[in-house]
Amino acid sequence: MGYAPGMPRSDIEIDLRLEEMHVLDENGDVDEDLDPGLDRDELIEMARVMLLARRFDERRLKLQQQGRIGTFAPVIGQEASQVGTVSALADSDWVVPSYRESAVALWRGTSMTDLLLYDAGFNEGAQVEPESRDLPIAIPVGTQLPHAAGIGYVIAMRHAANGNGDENGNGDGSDVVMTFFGDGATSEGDVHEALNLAALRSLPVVFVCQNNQWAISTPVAGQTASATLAQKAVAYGMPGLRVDGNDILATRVAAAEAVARARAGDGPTFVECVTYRMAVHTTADDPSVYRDEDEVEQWKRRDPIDRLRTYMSNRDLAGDDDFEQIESSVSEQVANAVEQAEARFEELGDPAGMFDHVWAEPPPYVEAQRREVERRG
Amino acid sequence: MSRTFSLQDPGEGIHEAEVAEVLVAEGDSVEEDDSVMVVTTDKADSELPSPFAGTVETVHVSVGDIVEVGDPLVTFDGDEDGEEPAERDEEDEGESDEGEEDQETDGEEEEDPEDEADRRSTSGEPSAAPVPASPSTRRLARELDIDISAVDGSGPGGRVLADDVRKAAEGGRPDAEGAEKKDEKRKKKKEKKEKKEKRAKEAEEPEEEQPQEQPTEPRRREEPGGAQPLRGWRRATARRVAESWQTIPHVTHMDRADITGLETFRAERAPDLTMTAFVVKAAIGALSEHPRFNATFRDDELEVRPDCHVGVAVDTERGLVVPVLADADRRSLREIGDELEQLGERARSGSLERDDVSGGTFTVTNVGPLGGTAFTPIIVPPQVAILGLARAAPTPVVTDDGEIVVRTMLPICLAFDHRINDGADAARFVSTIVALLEDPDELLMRS
Amino acid sequence: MAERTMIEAIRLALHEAMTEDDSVVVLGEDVGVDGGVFRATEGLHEEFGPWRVFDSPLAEAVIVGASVGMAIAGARPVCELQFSGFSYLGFHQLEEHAARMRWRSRGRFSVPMVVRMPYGAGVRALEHHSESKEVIFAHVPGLTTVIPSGPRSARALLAAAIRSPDPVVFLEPKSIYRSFREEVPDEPEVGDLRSARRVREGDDITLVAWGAMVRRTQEAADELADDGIECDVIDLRTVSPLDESSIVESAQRTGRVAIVHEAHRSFGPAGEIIARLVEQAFWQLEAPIARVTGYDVHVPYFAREQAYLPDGDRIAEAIRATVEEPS
Repeated sequence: MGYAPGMPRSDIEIDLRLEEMHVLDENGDVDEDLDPGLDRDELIEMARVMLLARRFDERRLKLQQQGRIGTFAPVIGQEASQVGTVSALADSDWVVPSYRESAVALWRGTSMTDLLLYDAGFNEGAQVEPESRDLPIAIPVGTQLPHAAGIGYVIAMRHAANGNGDENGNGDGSDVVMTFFGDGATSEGDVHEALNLAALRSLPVVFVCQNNQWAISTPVAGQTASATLAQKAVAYGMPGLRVDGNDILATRVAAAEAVARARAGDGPTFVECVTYRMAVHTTADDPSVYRDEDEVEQWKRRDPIDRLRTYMSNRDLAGDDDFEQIESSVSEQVANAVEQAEARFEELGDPAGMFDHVWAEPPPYVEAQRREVERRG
Repeated sequence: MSRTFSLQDPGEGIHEAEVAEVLVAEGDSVEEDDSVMVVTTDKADSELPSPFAGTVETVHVSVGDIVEVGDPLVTFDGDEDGEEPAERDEEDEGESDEGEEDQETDGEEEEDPEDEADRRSTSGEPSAAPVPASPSTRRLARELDIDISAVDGSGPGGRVLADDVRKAAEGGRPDAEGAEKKDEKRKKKKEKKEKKEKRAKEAEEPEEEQPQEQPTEPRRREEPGGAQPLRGWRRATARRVAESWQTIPHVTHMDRADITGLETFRAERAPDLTMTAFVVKAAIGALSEHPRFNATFRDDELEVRPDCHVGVAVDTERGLVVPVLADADRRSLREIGDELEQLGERARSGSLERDDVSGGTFTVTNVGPLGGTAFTPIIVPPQVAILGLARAAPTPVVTDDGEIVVRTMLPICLAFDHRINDGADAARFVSTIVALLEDPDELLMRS
Repeated sequence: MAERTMIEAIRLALHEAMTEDDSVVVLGEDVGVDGGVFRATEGLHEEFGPWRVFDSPLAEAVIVGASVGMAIAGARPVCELQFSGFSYLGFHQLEEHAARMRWRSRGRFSVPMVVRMPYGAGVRALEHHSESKEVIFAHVPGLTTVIPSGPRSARALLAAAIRSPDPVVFLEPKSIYRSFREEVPDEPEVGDLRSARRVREGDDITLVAWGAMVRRTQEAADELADDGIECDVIDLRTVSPLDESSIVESAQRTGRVAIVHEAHRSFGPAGEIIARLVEQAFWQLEAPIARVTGYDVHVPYFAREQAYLPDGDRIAEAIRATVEEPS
């Protein structure tokens, strides 16, 4: 950034890297140049996980209404935003979610049983597998972005110290951090500070903003005067890429590009996925109070899963039978998960469990409190 | 087998809902997850999917009903295929954590509050407010098996100090009279406090914010090496004496007795007896003629005592002690003398017991050996008079003939409670004492 | 051994930690090139470079929040907030995440980070630069709050804090950053984050203090020794988790206690200490427990700050009154 006086008044030249991208449209038509050419297996897997996420959330909504689990944030409608982007990551990359990334979690191998345990109020549900690099759900909006920046910082620091290759000795690139947040989060201070830091130090972070149009009852237009969210990236000096969030190929392409940039040490990217929150914010919410059902109908026509289905059908990659098969296997998986979870509900719940993992080494008086709870049974 | 679908807790602080639509009727066949009704809460309209499959046996609600969490909605009769809803255990929510003291970390025995109450009621009175005493003093009292509420507190505000407890333990159990005395004192203090408060209110002075027990900042500022607070014995005496002086309107009637003859008598016949013994004898004799000076006065009640117990002040290292000669009127002069000697020894060696120093009806205090021409002694409540003796000395005296002769004169100072006796009474009483002292024969005859 | 100021001792501890363990990262405003506004990090940037010593933007939330991420990724960040009065802007990251990540992830992730900040009054500073809000941090389970009282303990406790597997808030009493020197061993010394320390022995009264108040309390104790009052002085060192056993043992022995702190009186740390003493030393107490504290007002602008702080006279008065209380 420099300052060159001389002209009385002129436009300022800035590093403006701001683009919008569409690959697969509502009708199933593809831009051949941008088409990433994913193979059938990968596409089937994407379709499977998207359907799994959707059917799982549809089931969860019922379970919540029946009082079998507590509240949660359904992903319905945003499956492509999540699966497309996260699918660009390697296993050793990091994921820093907010609280609506169930499709991301399912892609990364988190079990539905664990998610249900969490929803039913058991701390055990938030457990993270030993080798996992997926952070747990973050509820205070936007506060997870600084964590992503911090992880990115350590990756970059080690990369700088080691010269080349990631700390696992893989190839030339470093690991990458992908973090998810919503349109509402972009108003939070932590988000601003994290974007600023990531760009300043060229950290390997992919910021995936899921613009699902609503922060509970606040539409994006009530969140910011900026025409797009991606353009905010420009202020920090990082590229902004806006994609149709329901276009799984676009989200994948955008993420892959951002990931590659980060891995090469060229810094962060802001990827805005324009999508729609088809269901409620959480189960205590009644969208009909603040939004028009017509809008929801419009977005139904842009359904990401239908779109992928159309694409695969057009390419003869998968037909109705395949999808029926996926549906029935998904249905079975969901049912199993519910059954397993409810069995676990019975086993868990020992009150003394509240003391687990708060301290590496609990102070003696906390141990005494634990014993007190145990005594009370 | 019937199963009932009740309104489940939807969370987010919602307790009730209004039935907006009932979608099933009795006899309908329902699959799991079929919507059976729509309810409205202040957050949302919700369709309720059935957790069971089965036939509707009873619909418990109608449109417009307000249902609370847990109320039955629809009862189905048996199809084994449906899943049971996991019952939300709501009992846990109401229980508050008492935060019981952890027994293991402190290792202290926690006192059963019953014990404390039991001990307090030994005096027969229903347990009043806790006696002010520090925790360590209370523990001491427990350990020494002393009823702390019956211990006279010599600390500020009547606080019972560890020394008070130890003293009570040394003096044996507080007897009924002792306990009574404590109660009196406490009552008096309470009255005084109430009077003070009443006065304060009447004067409409804003009552000064007295910090409870201990202020967070100290009240006093100490000079280096300067004031020292009173402790133990001294403090106890200070309290008693101050209270007596403040409560009793003292008048001291002073006279002199010519004991020249008595001295000669004593030297010849009873050199081992102290002058004090003779004075005690004379006092007893006078008391029998002026019984209103051998009385106890408490709670506005005067008891002129038929029995006579004379306290005699003894100066010890610790301070003034007043052992009591019990039933002094039944003793001979010699007995009185011997007893006085014994009591004096025990007083100085600190081996007096509680019974030794209580129950007096009259007191004699002789400061004469140390000097002085007169003084105004302080009455020992609940007594109504005290006889003080100053130094007997050769004194020029004017006889009836107008001659000046040298006689051994003993100054006599009778302090009396003016509520009970008047100056005239006192004068007559003292005159009798003087007469007895001036005529040894009379002394022996009339006492 | 060499005599060092607290600032020098802190710098020593940081240097030792960064030399021994290359996962230790220092970050904060002006900590790099400038060496920190109090010079606590002087020389580190030069020696360890711009990654391990990071001059961050003016952004407390990301200073603390990124430290959380760094720790999750395996580094040991030691971030600095320029004054404790600005820590609230990053506090949410400590409460919502730093103190919870181990528990939330059930042990998969942990947050071995340190947040250093100058704290307390007494240097004639501007508003917000004299705060003593250790209670706010102390009330967060999983968070350790440490306040050293001198150079030697600062070095040893900071070394321990950096090694701690859980997050530590390290409050440095700025009024004694340079005001006195103390022998600090040349060889590395690692303190114990869970134990208070007796700095003076006595049987008449227990005095509990921390930070800059320890010296004032010791001075008052010395003065009173001339009058035959022997004080047992305990330097708390770690406010939370509290080493209650040290305090309780002493109180059970002396029967009398006074607590000295800069923080506001109401809902201040003395309240917690008194609660524990009432629970565990009640039957030995001979007098009410005194507390000599800052007042329930914002720390005044510096013309009045010495009147706000507990001084030797107030401390001595409280000791005398407590010792002389008849029981």
